[in-house]
Amino acid sequence: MSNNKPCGWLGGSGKSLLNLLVALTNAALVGGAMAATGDFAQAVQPFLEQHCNRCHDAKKQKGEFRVDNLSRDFLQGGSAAKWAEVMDRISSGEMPPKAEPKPAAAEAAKVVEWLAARLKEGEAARLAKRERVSFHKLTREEYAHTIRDLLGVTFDYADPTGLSEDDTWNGFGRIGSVLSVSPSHVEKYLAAADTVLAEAFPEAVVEKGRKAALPKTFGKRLKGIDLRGVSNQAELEAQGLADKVRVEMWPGHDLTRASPGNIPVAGLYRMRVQLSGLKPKNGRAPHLAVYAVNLDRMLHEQDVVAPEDKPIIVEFTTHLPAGNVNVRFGNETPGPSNLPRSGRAGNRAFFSTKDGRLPWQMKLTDEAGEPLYPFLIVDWLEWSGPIAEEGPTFAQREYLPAELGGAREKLTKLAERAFRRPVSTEEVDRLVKLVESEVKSGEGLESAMKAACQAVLCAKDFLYLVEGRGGDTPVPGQPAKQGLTADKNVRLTQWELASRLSYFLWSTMPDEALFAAARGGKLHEPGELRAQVQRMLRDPKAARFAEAFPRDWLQLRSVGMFPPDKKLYPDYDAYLEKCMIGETTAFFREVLHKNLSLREFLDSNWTMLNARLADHYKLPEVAGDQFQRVSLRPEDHRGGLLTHAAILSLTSDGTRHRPVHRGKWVMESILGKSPPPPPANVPAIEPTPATQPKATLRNKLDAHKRNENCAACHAKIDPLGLAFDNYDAIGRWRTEEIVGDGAGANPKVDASGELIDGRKFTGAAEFRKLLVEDLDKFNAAFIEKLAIFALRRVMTVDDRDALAGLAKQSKAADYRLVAIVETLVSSELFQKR
Amino acid sequence: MSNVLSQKWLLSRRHMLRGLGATIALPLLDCMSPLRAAAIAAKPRRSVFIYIPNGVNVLTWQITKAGRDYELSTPLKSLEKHRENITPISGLHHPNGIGQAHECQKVWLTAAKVSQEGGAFRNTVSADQLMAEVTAPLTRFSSLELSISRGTTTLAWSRDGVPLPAEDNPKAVFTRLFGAEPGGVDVQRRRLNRRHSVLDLVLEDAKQLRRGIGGEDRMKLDEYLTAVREVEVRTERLDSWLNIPKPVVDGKTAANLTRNVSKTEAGDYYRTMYDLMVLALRTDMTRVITYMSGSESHGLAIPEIGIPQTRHELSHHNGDPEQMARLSRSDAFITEQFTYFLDQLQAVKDGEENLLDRTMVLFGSGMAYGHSHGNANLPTILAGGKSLGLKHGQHIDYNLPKLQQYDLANAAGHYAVCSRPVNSNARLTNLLLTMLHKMEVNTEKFADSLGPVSEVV
Repeated sequence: MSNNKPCGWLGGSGKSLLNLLVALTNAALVGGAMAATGDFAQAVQPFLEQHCNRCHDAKKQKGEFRVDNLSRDFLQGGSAAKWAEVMDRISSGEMPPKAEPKPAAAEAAKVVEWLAARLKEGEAARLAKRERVSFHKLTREEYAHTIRDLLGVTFDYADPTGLSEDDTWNGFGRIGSVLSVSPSHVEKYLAAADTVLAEAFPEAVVEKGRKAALPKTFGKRLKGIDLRGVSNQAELEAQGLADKVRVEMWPGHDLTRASPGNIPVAGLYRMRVQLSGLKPKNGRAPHLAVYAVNLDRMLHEQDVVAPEDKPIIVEFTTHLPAGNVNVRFGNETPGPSNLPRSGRAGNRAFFSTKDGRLPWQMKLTDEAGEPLYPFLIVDWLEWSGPIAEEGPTFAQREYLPAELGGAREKLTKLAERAFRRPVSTEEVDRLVKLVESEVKSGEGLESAMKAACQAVLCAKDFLYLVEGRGGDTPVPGQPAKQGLTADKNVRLTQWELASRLSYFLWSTMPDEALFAAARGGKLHEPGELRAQVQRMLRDPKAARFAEAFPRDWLQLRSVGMFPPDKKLYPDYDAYLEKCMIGETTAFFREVLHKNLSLREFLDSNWTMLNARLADHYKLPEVAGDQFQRVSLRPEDHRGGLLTHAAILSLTSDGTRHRPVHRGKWVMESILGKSPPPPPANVPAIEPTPATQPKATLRNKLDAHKRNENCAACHAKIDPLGLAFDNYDAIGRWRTEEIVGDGAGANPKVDASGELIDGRKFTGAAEFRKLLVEDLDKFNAAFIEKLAIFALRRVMTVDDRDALAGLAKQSKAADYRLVAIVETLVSSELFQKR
Repeated sequence: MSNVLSQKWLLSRRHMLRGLGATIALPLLDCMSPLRAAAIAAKPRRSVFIYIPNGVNVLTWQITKAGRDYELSTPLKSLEKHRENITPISGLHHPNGIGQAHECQKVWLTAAKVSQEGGAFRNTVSADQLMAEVTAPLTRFSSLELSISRGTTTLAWSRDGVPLPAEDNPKAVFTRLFGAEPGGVDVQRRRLNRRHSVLDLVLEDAKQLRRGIGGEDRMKLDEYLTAVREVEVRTERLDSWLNIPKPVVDGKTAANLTRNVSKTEAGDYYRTMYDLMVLALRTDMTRVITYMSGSESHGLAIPEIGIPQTRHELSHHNGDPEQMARLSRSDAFITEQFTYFLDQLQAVKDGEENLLDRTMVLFGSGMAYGHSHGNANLPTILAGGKSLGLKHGQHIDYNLPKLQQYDLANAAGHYAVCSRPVNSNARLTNLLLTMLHKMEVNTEKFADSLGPVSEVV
């Protein structure tokens, strides 16, 4: 710490005085002027006087650091950073130093907590100040959805040729101030525009001297014998058996000959496959997975159950880029070795499980002819496409003029949709000029139009949601006014409101109906907004909200971040991971569709399961890959979000469950609080010597908590996580904890605990009941998360009143989800920047 | 201009490269200013940064003796043959990094302070990007960002503190570097002209708006404008490179580097990436490379030597001897791959010198003792760059003057050394500053640096 200028909180410059005024006004908003400074005198001042000032004041400045005159303004980045340092030193026990009288742990903890809370508020305020920018970049997912609606083509944003992954903040993937643009992003946007436009405006293929309207089509059919490859093909053909050859796929077996090969043009392609799927008794169904290796993309996966003599046809369509596509077609289920010498038939043709096996080969079926392992048996598969309508594409019809003179009209239409608002004459002029100069330099009209389209797709107004234009929205046909309105609390324009609503619920641009409402000037009226929300939630695109919001709110991106140890959790695979997230998403969707209460998220007597997850939970069998509502009994030990495998595993670290992280997650996602960060010098949990009895992680943590510096905070965090100790790192129910180190039997799980307010519980079920008692806390937290998602910014002290109002309205509506969404959308908060 | 073309090194390099799988074409100097021509005449200076995720098993990694007659520790044994090309350094740290968990990879080359609570964390510029600013006019690609995962898992950060997305797929990188310009030069030139017009329009449009808005709100717009402008500069640069054919890589080398290599074959994957880096350097496609060989959440398991866990799992070994032994083996394996990279660089001769002599390589981690996130005494090895004036051959140790000796039998004691800096002046930024100077970046300070590392210059 160097050289602190002696500027007490009243002695600063004009600017900091202004900030102070702002701070005071904010404090007034949250409950009484001087609240923050007043508390300071009570909560921190005595501690400082007793323990700190003697070495860090005007007379003596150890370490060149003064604490007595440190500004109490926690909104200022500079002083906040110093207070953070003070907090860290106290919380780690480093200060006061050993030679000095030691403060009581509880006393120090109180100061640390008070400082942490102020710093958090200050951080949010500073973030918000930076954040009320007018430019919220589209996420790559939103970019792709918008392209689809604007140009009618699919953009595979996650492929190696796609866009870079976006940054997140506390789980949220769409915060304006966090999403950034570097030159390499711009290069990727340019390339993405090239790709998208090539498909939107396909070049005519010249066939037999005539230009054909449609690109050439593609088809490939592979029979069993082609897929397998046998040594005696000629012989089989002579016997008339060639067409009867099937391919039996053992667990873990891939067919490498199933690739479509060289795809002529980008577009939608269909794959069809005829196959049987044999499920062993009490075992898992075989799992078909079609994975494009070079695109690193799962094209399709599903369980297949169909008798050997009654194969079914599975088909799906997928978007593929032009060029070679390399596909792995697999039966992704765990099972025994499938090497030819023990498992599959090798080069020998296979016709039926009744064929008989070579002496050294493992049996396929038991004596009753029932399969012993999950098999797929494939007859044939075919690829075809591109699937396209006759004649010109959507983009050609909408945006391609017949002659140069028509360019202005078409470009106006494109720019208005792409920028999601009316455009000025100048904006269109620039585009028209580009088309003209391209034509002049010898390009055809379509190619010249593509250049203008590319400029539109790389323009700031397309890539960003621009908010805050206020009255400056261009009037069609008139020159643009310059710049944006500077007022921070400015109301959104009708157009901005339409976009906010559309990206909130659909993750894409507004549709014609929303544009029409904006054009009519009535969108901001509560009745109109409510009607729009209801309409939008009925639209299939609302599924994106049901997927994107829980992913952000519940931090579902972290599922699988530390993939579980294969040896400890052999059952864990990519499909299970997908199903885990699927349960949580389907659960949210169900609450949304049925307009259920938020209470269901905390405790429910139902959940959404598919076959794989029911098997994972050891619950009664559920058929198929689709998630369906399943009633739960108490002995199932499930109910509410907190028993979802996704939630239980996202806090784990790959080898073990982590109660503290679970507790932290509950605080953040359910109670809306952030615990202070741990001090930097925490000692690690010591391993248990091999001779001592095995200890649960809880026992080890308890030892840890004897350190009184830790105990004060952990008493608040840990019970929230320990309540779920009956679930392992991948969310399975257990009564014993499997422990590697130490001697003797595995210890029993103890999931009991006591909340900081004294309420006790014996395990997860009772804990869930306690959470329901605190429903109002969750209600407030949920509404804040929803607002962050909708407004693409962090909530601050300035928003507290508005949020409290929404929470009250939610309570009046029995915490029903659709009501909450409607109330938020029609609130002042939603309609302002 | 012809005097530059007749520079002996250029000719001999071309001659040499032809035999080694690539022919390099000489830059056409018409498009370059005289100043640049002079810079081209100077011999290339290169830097590579390679990241080790999750720290190491510090109990076995630590070299215990300082000076020239030190003994390499077991995981580092493969580097023995490179003794004269390397300097292991103990005791370095980032003051801002102390106490960081999974964020330390973000600040390894930037030394910025990361809030553990996330927030709108803004990084600062990374050392490699300052170097790239100097080398950018001289090579087709100003820098190359590689990583174990595609996207923002990257070591390189722009001046705006924006992550520069990295590539993880050798084939994609190869195609970007050496792929033919589709349609030939004329088509490409036309394409670039067109890109130029598009960017012009986009910029003009954004500038109009910028005039009207004030301070805070301008930040995001400026970030966008800077990015677009930079792409415009790159487009011009690409245009001037158009007449210079890309090096032709022989079929066998190309086929090897464009295979679909699975990350489950860790050794094959690493060696392919390293081969690609050597090729990029020796064909002078770029002079600055960052490679996050593993990230804190994605450090490869190495099934081929019986290690099924990721490095993150291993690093949280909880004192289990078996896990710790595996972590050591994983450390040794990663070091062997690094040794392979040095071997390959050394094998490319350039007259009296070799490629390694003109390439500085920093190999290290932002974490030391992963189990409880201790990040002092960071694993650090500086290699190569002898022709740039680096002096190697000793183990520099900033801990020993105070510690006198290491007591690795006392695990807790050594973990403390790896969690709290012994010498608070021993900053990693000093080393980065040293490298910046060798790359002719004109700066007296980098982040919190105190001065260059005198022992290696």
